Amino acid sequence: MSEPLLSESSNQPKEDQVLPFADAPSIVRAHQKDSYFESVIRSKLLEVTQIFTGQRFVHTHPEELTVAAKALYLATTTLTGSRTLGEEYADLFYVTRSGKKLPKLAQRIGFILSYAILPYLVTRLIRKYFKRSNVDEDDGDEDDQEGKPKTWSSFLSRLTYTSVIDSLMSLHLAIFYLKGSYYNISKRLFGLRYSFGHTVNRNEAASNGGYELLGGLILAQLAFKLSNLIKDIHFTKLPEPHTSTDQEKDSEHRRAQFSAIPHAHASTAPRIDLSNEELLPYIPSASRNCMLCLDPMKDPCCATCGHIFCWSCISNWARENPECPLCRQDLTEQALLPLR
Amino acid sequence: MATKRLMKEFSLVQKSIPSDSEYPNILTLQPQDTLFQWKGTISGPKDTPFEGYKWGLIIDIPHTYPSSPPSVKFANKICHPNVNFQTGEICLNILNQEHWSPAWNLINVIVAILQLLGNPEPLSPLNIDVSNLLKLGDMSAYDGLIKYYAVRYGLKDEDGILD
Repeated sequence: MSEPLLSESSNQPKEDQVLPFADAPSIVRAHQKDSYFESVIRSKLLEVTQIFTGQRFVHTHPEELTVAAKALYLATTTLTGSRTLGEEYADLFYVTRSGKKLPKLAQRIGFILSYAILPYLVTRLIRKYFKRSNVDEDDGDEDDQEGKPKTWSSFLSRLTYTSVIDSLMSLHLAIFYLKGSYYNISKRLFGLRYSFGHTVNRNEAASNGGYELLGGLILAQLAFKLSNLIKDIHFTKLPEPHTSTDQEKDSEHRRAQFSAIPHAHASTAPRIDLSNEELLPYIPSASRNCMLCLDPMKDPCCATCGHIFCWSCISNWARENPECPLCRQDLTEQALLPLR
Repeated sequence: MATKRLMKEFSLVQKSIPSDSEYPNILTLQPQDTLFQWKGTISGPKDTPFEGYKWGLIIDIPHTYPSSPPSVKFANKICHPNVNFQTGEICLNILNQEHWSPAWNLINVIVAILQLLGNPEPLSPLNIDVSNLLKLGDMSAYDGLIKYYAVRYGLKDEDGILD
């Protein structure tokens, strides 16, 4: 646990005139309260937008609503200079890095923008970028075959945006747990540090305990991940050409598998037509007609109860009425078994 | 699909009606201008108060047939607990979307209606007066009322079939 009292302020007249920096547990408590109130605001906002724009908009823009709720909550509290409910609950307030001044308006605006809106914008951009690059990748496969293994590019390709962000976040969290200074990266960026609104008894603070153990665990996990990654790259360096051809084979195999799946919606001729008596000879002639279309069955398929119908007849029926037309046993479309 | 299936049913009907002894009470069953409108004639089943008289049936078939049930009405007035006296509407569970099965055909539907004539269900009545008689167990009044309306609105066996 970092020293709750400000040690660098030794040149200040009196140490106990400066309020102590908040410790990690209080910050986490305040944050939890705040996220609860954010979710309350979000659900209220949801109701209101639903009234004005309809259910569909609400369903298609859940992220936007979350961002709006977050921004609204912070704009009404932090931006106006008052404390959020969570901060009041834990008796915290923002101070500058040195802990001697209150943060300026520009700092607070910067924090709100980077905290509430920036992550959303970045994820949207990245998603767009990846959609495009995924299309490009298909062409890229053939180039790899003749090209020499490029360790660096393969290293980069492993680093997806989310994995990088995740490791950065957990690194930051580990630092927070160890030092207890900034809970969010954006708070660190704009120098918004929490300070207690009251003086803290040294003994009391020590007995509260901290999150150092958690921080250490996260760091260990990160180190393990990193070593794994390095090992992986090191080993795939040599057999790279092989793996790429393997991938090719694999994708060919997969393509073959896909083409083997009958196209249910294709209106082409049926694959199995029971008017041909040589097909599926174990079905007796009396049962070769579908009870639904009264014709010889086309693409016969079997329901879970054992009754046989044309694929198209029974799947049309099952979509609306999930029961067998003959015995009324439960019948779901996905449980139909094509006979061949 | 509906047209194709109705064609099949038509040929089936032509084979079995009226020659087939399996369906003695179905006198006629044939499509009208289109395959989606049929008319039929039934005679009252034996040992029921309807015996000796004939009724016409008007069958309208939806284009979603056989996924949806046909709608069947009596053409002439009939006094029965489960038939609306004014409109001829029939209360029969298999004619509801909920209980209909595409495995049934038009002949099955008419057989079911014939069954209904002999086995009324007074607990879901469309004709409350006659079903109350049945609920009270006053069979002579029940039979008498049905006979009265049969004489009045039903066709006699000697009459021709209803158009």
